[in-house]
Amino acid sequence: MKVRGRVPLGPVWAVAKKDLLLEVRNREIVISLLVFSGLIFIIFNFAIELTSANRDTVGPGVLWVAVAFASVLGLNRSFIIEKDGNALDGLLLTPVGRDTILIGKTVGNFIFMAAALVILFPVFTALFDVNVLKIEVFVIALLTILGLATVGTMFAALSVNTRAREIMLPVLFLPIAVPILISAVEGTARVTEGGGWGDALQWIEILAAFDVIFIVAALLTFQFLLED
Amino acid sequence: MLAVLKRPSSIVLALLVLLVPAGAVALASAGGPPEVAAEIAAQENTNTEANLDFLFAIYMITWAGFFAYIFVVSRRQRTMEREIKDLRQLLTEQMPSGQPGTGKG
Amino acid sequence: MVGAVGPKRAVWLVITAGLVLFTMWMIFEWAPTERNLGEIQRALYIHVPLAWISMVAVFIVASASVMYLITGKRKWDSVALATAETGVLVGTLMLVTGAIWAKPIWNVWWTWDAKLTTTAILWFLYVAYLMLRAFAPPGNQAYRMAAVVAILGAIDVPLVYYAADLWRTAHPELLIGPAAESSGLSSEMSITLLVSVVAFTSLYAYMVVDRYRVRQSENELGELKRDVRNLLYRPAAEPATAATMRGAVPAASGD
Repeated sequence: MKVRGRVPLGPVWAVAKKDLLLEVRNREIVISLLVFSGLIFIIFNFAIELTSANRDTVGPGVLWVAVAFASVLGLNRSFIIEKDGNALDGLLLTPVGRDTILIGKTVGNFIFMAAALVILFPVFTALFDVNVLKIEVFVIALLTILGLATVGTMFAALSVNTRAREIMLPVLFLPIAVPILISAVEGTARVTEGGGWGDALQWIEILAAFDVIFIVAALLTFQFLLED
Repeated sequence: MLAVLKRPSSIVLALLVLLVPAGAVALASAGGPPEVAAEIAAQENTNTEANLDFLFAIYMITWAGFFAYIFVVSRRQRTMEREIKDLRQLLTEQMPSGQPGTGKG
Repeated sequence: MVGAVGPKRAVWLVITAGLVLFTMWMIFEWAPTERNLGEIQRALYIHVPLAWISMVAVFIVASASVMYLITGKRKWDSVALATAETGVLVGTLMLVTGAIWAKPIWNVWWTWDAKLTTTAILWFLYVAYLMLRAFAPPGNQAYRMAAVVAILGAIDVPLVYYAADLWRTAHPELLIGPAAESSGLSSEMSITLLVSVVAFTSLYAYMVVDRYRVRQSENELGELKRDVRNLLYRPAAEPATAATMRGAVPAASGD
């Protein structure tokens, strides 16, 4: 097991920039994230009755379930476009390590999710009358999508080569992401219920710990994930 | 020489089949050393024999699970061994005489 | 060499079976009946060993996976697979026995306390691991991917537990008393439990070795099939046109 001492930032950014450029041209991923999350909002609206009494507590659950499920779609898409037309083979032929490619993809996915959240948060606030436009929630959201992007990119990279790839990703990704989802929901709920940093702090700590642990794990294991 | 032990699964199977009724009988016979059971039951107001069917189900399901797995695995092993034997035979038959071209190609 | 159980394993099997029988006697005859819970408490002697084995299995799968990534030797992958598959079986049995035990004691089949939540998530994770192995294209790449998933899963366990634990304490009104479980065990009960853990661990180890051998046969069979394919397809192009086609022949023998 070779561990590269240093990952060159230039190539990482080049991979991320390629994804961003592609996204700016066809807007496939961010639009799908938004539409899908919006639909989940609508469905949840029927599934659970949000009242003025429970909306601040239950609302964050709706928000993060929507983000988690939508991110599965986005992550899958980000690797399927590489697989179709054998773009991944081209990427693997470039003189950079597999880990570099995957870090670049992670950065790209993180930016897509962040872009979607910028629109999703105001929409959610308006639809459910739960104010998530707070600095504490932004920090929670950043840590959450950082974790989702890191773990998700790893699993998307390995599911894209399997049969039934659209099933493999959520089946692998969602159980691993449980600590992030619990923390995101609970942390956000503490804030929307009227709490401040102190109330959300322990959840933010779990999110940060998850992110650090899985970023390190990702850096160590990325090299094994793409096919020879 | 180890003919009897050629199929480990059958032995485990036999032993475990014995276990289930053994457990059931033990349960049916008021469970636990009689004097202890009587003593404890005397001090207690709960019925210690309630839920025996749940306990029975727990042990049954566990043994059935172990069994089914061991059975399936050993069956797979046997079919594969047969296949391996056949293929080996095929290879040894084919190699020297069957196709004269093989050696060169 | 192929097939028959070696004498060592036969001895092991006999000892294990004897131990298991003895354990059953201890559980149902020797150990006293628990005061509060009654006979149903005897479920402890099977539920706890299953839980213990599941934990050990997670650890072994992760360790074997690390070894596989370091050494690239296929035997480590086989160890991980054998342990994971049997581990999922034991985990399933643990969840089922736990639910059946919970129903009469807690009056629910399931409760979302930290241990149960963590176990359920772990179960899904290892089922996903086996699915990945089944769905991945054959070859070393699949083994590497599986190894990475196993390692990430093991890393995730404490995080899931910590988050689930905190989540529960955040909703104390929903806590259903697993405290019922924590009433002290008498010394006979402890000894029975210990013997039971040893017996079931021995049985589990036997099953893992069984599964490991099947895995090796699978690998052997795969190699033999490749040999046979090579043997059958290569000469097929050989006759008649051999003189002209010789250069193009090996293409038929894919991987």
